[in-house]
Amino acid sequence: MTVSLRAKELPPVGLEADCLTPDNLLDRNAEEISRIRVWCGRRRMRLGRFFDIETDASGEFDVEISGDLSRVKRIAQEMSTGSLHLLGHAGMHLGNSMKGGKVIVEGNVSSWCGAEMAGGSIEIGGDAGHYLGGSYRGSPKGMTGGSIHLRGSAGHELGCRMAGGEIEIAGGCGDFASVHQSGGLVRVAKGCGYRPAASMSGGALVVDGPAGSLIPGARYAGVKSDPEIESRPLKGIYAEFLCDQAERTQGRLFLLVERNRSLLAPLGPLD
Amino acid sequence: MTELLLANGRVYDPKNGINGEIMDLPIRAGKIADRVSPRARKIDLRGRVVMPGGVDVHSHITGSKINAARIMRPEDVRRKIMPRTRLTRSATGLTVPNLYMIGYTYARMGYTTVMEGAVPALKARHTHEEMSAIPIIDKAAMILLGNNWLMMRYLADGEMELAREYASWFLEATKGYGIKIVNPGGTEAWGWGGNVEGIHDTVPHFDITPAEIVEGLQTINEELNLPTSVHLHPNGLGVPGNFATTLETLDLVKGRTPSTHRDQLLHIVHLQFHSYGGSSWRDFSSQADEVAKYLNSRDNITADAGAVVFGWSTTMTADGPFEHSLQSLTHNKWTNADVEAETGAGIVPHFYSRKNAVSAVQWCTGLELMLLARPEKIYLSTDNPNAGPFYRYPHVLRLLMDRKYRESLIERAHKVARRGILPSIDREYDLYEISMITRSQTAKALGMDDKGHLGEGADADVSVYDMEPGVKKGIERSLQNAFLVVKGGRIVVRDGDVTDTPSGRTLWTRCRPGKERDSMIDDLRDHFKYYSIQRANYAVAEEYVAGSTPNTPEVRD
Repeated sequence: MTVSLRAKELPPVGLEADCLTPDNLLDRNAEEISRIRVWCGRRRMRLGRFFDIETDASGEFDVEISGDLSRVKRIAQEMSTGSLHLLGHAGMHLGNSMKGGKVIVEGNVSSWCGAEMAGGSIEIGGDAGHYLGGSYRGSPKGMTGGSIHLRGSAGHELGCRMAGGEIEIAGGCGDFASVHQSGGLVRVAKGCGYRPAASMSGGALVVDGPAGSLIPGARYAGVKSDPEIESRPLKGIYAEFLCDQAERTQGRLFLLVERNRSLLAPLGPLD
Repeated sequence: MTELLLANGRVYDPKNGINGEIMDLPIRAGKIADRVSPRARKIDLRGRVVMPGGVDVHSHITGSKINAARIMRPEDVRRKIMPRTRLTRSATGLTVPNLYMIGYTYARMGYTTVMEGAVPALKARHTHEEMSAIPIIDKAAMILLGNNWLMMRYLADGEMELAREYASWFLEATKGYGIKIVNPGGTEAWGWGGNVEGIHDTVPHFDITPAEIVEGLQTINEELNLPTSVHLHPNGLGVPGNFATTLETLDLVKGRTPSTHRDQLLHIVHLQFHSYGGSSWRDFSSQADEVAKYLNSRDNITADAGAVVFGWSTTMTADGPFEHSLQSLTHNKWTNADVEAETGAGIVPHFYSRKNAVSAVQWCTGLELMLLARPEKIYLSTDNPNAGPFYRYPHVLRLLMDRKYRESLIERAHKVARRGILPSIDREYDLYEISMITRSQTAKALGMDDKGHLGEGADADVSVYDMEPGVKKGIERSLQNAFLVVKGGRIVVRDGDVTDTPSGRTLWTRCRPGKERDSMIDDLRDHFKYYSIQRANYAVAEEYVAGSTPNTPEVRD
């Protein structure tokens, strides 16, 4: 069965739609779903006021939501099973604390997408905001498992306090990628901003494009050609750095030599 | 005049020797009365258990430490959330909750009086502001004096009269209830990056030892005739093998007798953290049997357990060096603070994991102490939020009351729990003993004559639970959500829900000035050169404890 929701008229203030998960929607009919109450600013309103809801016997996904949902927050929060397809942009906190299942977003997502997620997968066709796979304020760990694939670019503090799982980005990302990361793998194809791997204590960050800068706590650990990182074989020649020396244990930062010649120039010829 | 008749409840009132008798409880004008008029509102409590309102002897609920921890732990807010209702304000936080959560949760468990365990004098005004915002419960604060520069100087110079005068001025200035000592001399040494190892070490820059601080303050406490004894957090908290230091400290008051009707000269807080054997974390063990045997054999000492509960906690203490060593072990986040010429503090979040050997030993130690010591000697506490948050009290009580449940948790804990003596202890607390360790004995140790019992003239603080003697099913849930709670004659909780939110009182102590007041004030003028604030701005004004009458003990000369 597929539940499809089509946005009709969305309010100018945020909609706290943590009810939009397959776990929550699948065993209800359209009428019941439209009666679910959501916080809209400081008022509680019925979901049916904002969406046309249909249930349909045959569909590829369990839940399909279409429309510009940039102000709809917490979609797929704590989702544990099933699949969810979003045709359009999504608001903040998409798939945060997710435990399983699959989310596919055709548009952009906002900040804290996949924050503190423990399992499942998120695929995003557009760009992502800040703290992709990151942690909330004060938490010791961000993402601990599962995977995020992003076709566009991500904002700042990608994978903040990440402790496990995998993030793969086809575009670039902002400053402080993998800040405080303690495990898992982050791959960025098109380069990152300033100070990648700051305060990192474990896991790996692989940058296949130009990096904005190197932190003072990055210790050069040699050149690796076609390395295997976190059991993933990579192609190319990488300079490896142990980061951050200001921390007690070590994460690993890999920079593709070919795209970082000027940054790596002080180390002499590497390939 | 509001009158209330709590009829047909099964009453456990240890102070008055009432052990499970079915009786009526008349309440008039906020006090337990001898009888009420026929117009009194009658509530039938057939098949339910009635106890005095709970009195928590040691808990950290207000002040700068808690507030710093709230700032440091935004993630804690998200772990427990109660949305506001028509009556109650929004309440958040698991181990360091906001003030509303503290008041509501204590009330829902049937607690009506809570002692804040450690307040630095310089932060007393803020503490009183917070206390006045906590709904429902009565509260009081113990003021830190064990690392105070002027006090240490007086004691080192043998100026006992000036020291006594200073202590009495100090309690009035802070609107505090009694004297607290935390790691005597050690926190001061931490200001220089060190600690004291034993009770006969010299405190840096002061010609005094921890033993002399404890003896001195304890003597002053009795001379001032304060309602409660000195509350002591001995040296060496959390260190393997520290039980020897603890027993050595307790020996200091051997043979002395208290000045008042309370039994004790020293109340040892969170004894669990001071009852360890071994010499390192490798051979870390519980010495609870030794310590409990000692405690049972001594008349003038009481203690609270500081029992560990598995799960998240936030450790916070004026024992700065301990928090530093905990941070070095766990690498969790850390706050460290120095409070001018008085004390210091540290805060580190901590997770007690049932699968961790050290946590499991600590968990066993707390339970062993409570099961081996007599209920006259050891009282319930989790040193909230150090060994666990106070809302887990019902869980600890269930562990004490239900041996089968205890065994099932021992099975699920790290194997060290099965190697100790805990599995061999059969004892189960009954409701009378529960009432002792949470009510009558704690109120007695705190010198609160109107609390912790249901005799005529006592404050009408009453808690009623949906349970029956001997029935173990649902104990924890019943204790967590009291069926009925009366505070000062007003019904504040029905069926586990808060129904009224009066503001509680602040209990404090005012001593009369003695002969040496003027020369002490002269010293004080000089002493304030060490402070960042003026002496005139130091004392907490009486507006902060409006509506409360202080204790006024007679000084003994």
